[in-house]
Amino acid sequence: MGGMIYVEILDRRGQVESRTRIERFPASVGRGYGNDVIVDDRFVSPRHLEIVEEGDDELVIKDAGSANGTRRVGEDEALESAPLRPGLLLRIGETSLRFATADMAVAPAERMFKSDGLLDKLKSAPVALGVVLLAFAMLTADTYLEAYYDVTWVDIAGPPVAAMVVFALWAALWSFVNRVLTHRFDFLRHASLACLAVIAMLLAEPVSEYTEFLLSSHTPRYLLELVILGFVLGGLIYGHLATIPVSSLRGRKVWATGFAILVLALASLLDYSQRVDFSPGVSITTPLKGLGSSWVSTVTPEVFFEQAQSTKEWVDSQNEK
Amino acid sequence: MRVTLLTLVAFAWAVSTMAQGPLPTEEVFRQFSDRVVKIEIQEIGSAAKASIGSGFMVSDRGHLVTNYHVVAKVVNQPERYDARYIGADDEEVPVVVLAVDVAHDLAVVKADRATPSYFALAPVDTPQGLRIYSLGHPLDLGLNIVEGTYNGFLKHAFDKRINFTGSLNPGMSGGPAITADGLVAGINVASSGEQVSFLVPVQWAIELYQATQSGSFERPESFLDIVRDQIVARQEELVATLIARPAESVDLGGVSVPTEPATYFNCWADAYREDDVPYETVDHSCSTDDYIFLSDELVSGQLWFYHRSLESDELNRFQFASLFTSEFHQTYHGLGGGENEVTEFRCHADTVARSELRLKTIFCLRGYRKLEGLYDVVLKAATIGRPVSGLETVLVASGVTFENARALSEWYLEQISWAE
Repeated sequence: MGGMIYVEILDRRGQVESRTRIERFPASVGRGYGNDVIVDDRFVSPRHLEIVEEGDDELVIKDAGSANGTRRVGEDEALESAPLRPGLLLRIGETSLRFATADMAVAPAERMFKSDGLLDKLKSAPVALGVVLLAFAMLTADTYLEAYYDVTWVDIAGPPVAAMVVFALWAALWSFVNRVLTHRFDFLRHASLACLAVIAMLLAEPVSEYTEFLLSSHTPRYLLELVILGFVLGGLIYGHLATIPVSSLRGRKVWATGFAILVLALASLLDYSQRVDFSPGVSITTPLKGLGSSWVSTVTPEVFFEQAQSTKEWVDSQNEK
Repeated sequence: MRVTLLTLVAFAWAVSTMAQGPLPTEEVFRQFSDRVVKIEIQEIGSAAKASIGSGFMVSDRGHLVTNYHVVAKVVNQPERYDARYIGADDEEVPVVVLAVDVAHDLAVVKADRATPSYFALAPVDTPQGLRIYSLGHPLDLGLNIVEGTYNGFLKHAFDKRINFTGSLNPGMSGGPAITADGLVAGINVASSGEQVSFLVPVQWAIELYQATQSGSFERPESFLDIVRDQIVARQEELVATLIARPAESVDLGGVSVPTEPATYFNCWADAYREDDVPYETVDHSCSTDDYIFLSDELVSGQLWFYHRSLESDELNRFQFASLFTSEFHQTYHGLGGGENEVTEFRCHADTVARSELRLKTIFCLRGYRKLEGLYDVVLKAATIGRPVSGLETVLVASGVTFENARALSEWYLEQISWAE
């Protein structure tokens, strides 16, 4: 061994707090200013331990007669000396020390944009612009296909333009944060992320509607919409955070998941509070679709009214309350 | 001499006219007004009047007839409200409810004192055009007399009601409508626009009063079970006669749908075609004029249905689906009802296939909280499978048992098919 080592002081969570390169031996570690590695810990002696060369390039750690001793992390027995191996963990006072050599293996780099293929593509301005235009086109088509009155181009383009303005404001907010943290705006990328979320929601809309149309039940549609909304919102926040490359992958996931859960919880709460309020009306959610009616599962009138008995049971149970 | 003779002839003519013709209104009022009273409902806690109506004596032992809806508060919340009558002497006399007929909107109440002046109830012959006089307390303005004519029974009602061409106003409810001879022809109950008013035929009041005179009669503690039983009996009869045979059918946008299932239904139709609207609709609705008053917020006993066909040459199938969905989601049932009276609606949805027709069908039900076993039902259905045309239909029945809600709905759906 010999040559060069690093002495690392670790914090409570095991993260490196400071790292000192040592090339000449003997070297010393302690609280005093004459040491090669100075440890600011009142339980560490002014000269606590030494690193010396012994024999054939062997490095050995020796306790220098410290007041509180030197121990391996997790052990109680104080050591007189210990051979220095890469990754050796010692505790002096309240401080953990790790000894590393230049050839010590480290974990491969964590990818900043792990599975962020799509997000990488948004770095390209033409792609981002394409996403924005696609969202606008889809919003316009959606407005047109839902319009059943005599419409002008203003009626058709108005709502999508208004929506795009809202997305621009949203993207501007993220760009501001981006600028503060990384000195770059990345506006187009943030805007394209918002548009990507809109595209996802527009694609999900017929899926959720057809779920109710085909199954004639609102509950699967409601759950599906919640799940889709959660994924889209979570993905959106994840994308914005990933665009600002100061957060860790884990942090991004936590924030995105947390935000999605928060929004879903609020949406469910709002929905619940509306249901609690008494309503004398009949609420119908079933959509009527122009395509695919031959795939709809059907029942005979007898079966329908047999199953409608469940409404009586529910109503009677309400009456018992 | 000639002058004296002419005077005598004129006098004789006047006397003979008076003897044969109807009494002047003021004479009717003078003779019979002391038999009509104001009925006041008081909130016990505040001792202030909560509502008013009219009533009239039908015996010398304190029996009065009025409308059920006048005393409904006392029936529904006896712990909160009580009733009294106020006669010509302005004295307040407490009354208790003895018997009710909710289907015909009648009640018999009794005061604990003698009422020497009263109308003896008896069947009365009433040709159309007969002049009758309605008495009551409109808007608490004091006792009024209203002159009008008897015009037979309402054509579009399962329960018989008299069409009275005279102005009834709020507060006159429960007052009598009498002939010039002082015979009660009907009981004031409702109005619908100028000079169009309705009376309950006297026969129901006779039956209700006589029931209280039988030896076995006992005043019930609570009237809710009686109210429920009366509504159940009425709807049993109504539904049984209705579903005994199929209704007439009408072709609406290629779909055959029921219309005018009985003579007491009144059906209307209209089409909506405008140049600046890219679709056309044809509406067809049938209803009866019946309703049963249960409380200020809740009426029952209604039955109506409504069809709407939609068609477009200009919209594509996606736009039409959007229109059709939006129309289908709008459901007006007009039943009212507060949280303490009815539950919320619960719906069951599915796609019903009958022969070649596929109907997206929703069956919605809610229950009456105080009248166990009675429900309101809303059945909605829409055809699916055609790209730019469709038919939606809705059936509303209030105050029916679940079995009849189902029977009525099944009967209704059976009559919807592709037109041949």
